[in-house]
Amino acid sequence: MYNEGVINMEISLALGGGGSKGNAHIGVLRRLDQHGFKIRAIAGTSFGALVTAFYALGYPPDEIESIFSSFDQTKVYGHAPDDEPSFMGIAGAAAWLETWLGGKTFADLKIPTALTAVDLNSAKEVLLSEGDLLDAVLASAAIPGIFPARRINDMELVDGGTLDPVPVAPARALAPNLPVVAVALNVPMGEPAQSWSLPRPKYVPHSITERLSKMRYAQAIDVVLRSVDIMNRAVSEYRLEVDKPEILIRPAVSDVETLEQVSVGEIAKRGEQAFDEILPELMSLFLWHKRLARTLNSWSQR
Amino acid sequence: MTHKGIAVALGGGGVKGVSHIGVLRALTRNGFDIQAIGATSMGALVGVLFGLGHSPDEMEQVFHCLKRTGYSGRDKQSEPAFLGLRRFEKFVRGFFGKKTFHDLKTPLIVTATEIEHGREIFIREGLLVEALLASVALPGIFPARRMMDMDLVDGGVLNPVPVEAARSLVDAKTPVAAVVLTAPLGVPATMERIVLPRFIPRWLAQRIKNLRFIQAIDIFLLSQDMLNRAITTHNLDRSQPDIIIRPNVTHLYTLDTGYVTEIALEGDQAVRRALPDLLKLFPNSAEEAMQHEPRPA
Repeated sequence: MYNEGVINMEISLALGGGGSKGNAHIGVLRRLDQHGFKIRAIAGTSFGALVTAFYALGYPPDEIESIFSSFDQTKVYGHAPDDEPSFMGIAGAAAWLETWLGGKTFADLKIPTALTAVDLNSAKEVLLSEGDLLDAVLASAAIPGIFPARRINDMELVDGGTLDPVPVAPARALAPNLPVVAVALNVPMGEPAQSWSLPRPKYVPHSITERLSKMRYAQAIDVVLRSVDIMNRAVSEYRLEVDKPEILIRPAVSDVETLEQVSVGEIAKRGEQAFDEILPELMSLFLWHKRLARTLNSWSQR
Repeated sequence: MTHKGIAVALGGGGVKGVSHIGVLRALTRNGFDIQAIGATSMGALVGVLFGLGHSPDEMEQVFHCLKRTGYSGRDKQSEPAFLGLRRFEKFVRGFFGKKTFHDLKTPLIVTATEIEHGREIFIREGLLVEALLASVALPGIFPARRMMDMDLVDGGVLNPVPVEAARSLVDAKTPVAAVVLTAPLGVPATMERIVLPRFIPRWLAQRIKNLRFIQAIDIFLLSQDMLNRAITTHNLDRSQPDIIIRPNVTHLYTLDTGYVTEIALEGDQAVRRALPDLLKLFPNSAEEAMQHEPRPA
C-alpha cells in the first residue's frame, strides 16, 4: 500500500515514561512491525524502559501484550528487606519480572538499547546500556519516593522521567543517521493537572479512604502532587521542543493515571490508533529526497 | 554619563531571595537605572519593597523582622497546607496595608502559577498583599491563594525566574538581567536534605532522619529540587536574558532562616562579578569606565 518507492525504513525509537499509560507502547511497536519498519535502536524511560527491555530481548509485541496481561496488577507493590526507602515499594512487580528478565544483561539484547535514569547525588541524567537488565529497568522506573531508588555503581538512581520523560536524545545518540520516532505519554500543557491516586490497600474500607482524602493533610499533598505534575509536563514540553524528534506519537491516554490498574489490550489499542494517524507523515520521511537531506545533514554535523 | 536603564527578573528561592536586596543595591550604586521588575515568590517581596521606594537597609530590616516573627502558622479558614503562612500574612498586611500596584514607583509584575491548568499568571494590578501571598505559596507547604476564580501558587513552579515578565515592561532596547538563585543541573545538591526544627535534640533528629518514611520523603524532595533546576535551565535557554546574575546562595535551604545581612552581601558580590559583562551591555558606558580607570603602573 504505502511501500511503493520506499525502501529500508529504518528508525530509532524513543519510548517515554508514564506508568500504566505505557501499555500504549505495545500497540505502537505492533504497528511498526506490521508496516515493516526496522527498529535499529531503542531508548526507553520508566515504563517505556520495561517495554524496551522485552522488545529488545526479541519478544514480539503480541507476546509482550499477553505477558503483561498475565500479571496481576494488584501485586505491584511491597517492600523487600534490603530495599531503599519508599512509600509503596515495588517488590511484587520486581519478583515477577525476575522470572522474565532475571539473569539477563544488555549483552543479550538484539538491538542497541539505552535505558535512562537520574542520579540523585550528581543530579544528572544517566544512560544505562550495560550490566544487569532488570536492575536497569527498576532504576529507570523508580518514581522518586514512591518506588525505591536503585543503587548501581555508587549511583542512587531514580526514574529517568524526572528530568527527561521522552528519551529522544539517547535514541538519536544510538543511531545518529536515522529519524527518531518518539512516543510521548505525558498530558500536554493546558489540560487540567492530575494528582495521583495512590493505590489503597484492600483491607482499608472505602468509607475510611474517602474520609482520609478529605483531610487537610491529604489535600495539601494533593496540591504538591498537582504542582509536580505541572512541572513534569513543563520539562517534557521543553525537552521535546529542544530535541525535536522527527516523528512524535501521542496516544490519547490522558485519562489513564500513572498507577491505575488497566486493561493492557485496551491501552495498547490506543497506541495503534495514534500510530495510524501519523503513518502518512512517517512514510514521507522515507522518500528519497528526505533521506538524502538527512544523510547530508548528518555529514555536515560531523 | 550614559543612561544605563535595565530591567531585572528576580527569581524565587525562599531565604535565598534576600540576596536580591544586595543585587538591587549594587546595581543602583554602579549607576544602573532599574526601570522594571518581574518577580516571583521571595523575589516578589523584594520587588514590591523596592518598587515602593524602600532603601536596601529598610529591606534588610523587613527580613530581620520576618526572621523574628517567623512565617508559618495555620489559619482555620485558609486553604489546606502543611505549614500555613499566618505570621507572614499578618506581617505583610500590617506593612503594605491597602497599597496597590498603582503606588509603585517602579513598574512591577508579580508572577504566580495557576495550578488547575498549569499556566503562568502575570499579576500587575490590585492589592500588593494579595499578589505577594499568591506568589510565595510554595505548593502544599503554604496555602494556595484564590484570586480571580483561580487557585494560585508560587510562580516558581513553572518559571523560577520571570524574564518574560520583566521584558514585557520595557522597550526592546533595554537589557534584562536575570537573578538566578538555584544551582544549575549537574551540580550535586549540597543542601541538607531534610531540615528539622532546632529544638529537636540531635540524637532524636538523627533517629527521625533514619526513619524509612522520612527518607522516602527526602528522595521525593531531592527529585523535586532537580526538576526545579531543570525547569530553570530550560526557561533561561528559552527566554534568553541579556545577562545572568548568580548570587552564591545555592547551598541555602529554601525554608531556612539564615543571616540577612550576609545573604544580602552575596547579592552585591554577584553583581561585582558580573559587572564587566553588565557594562558590555552599554557599549558607550564601558568606554567611559575605561577612561576613568587608573592606568597600570
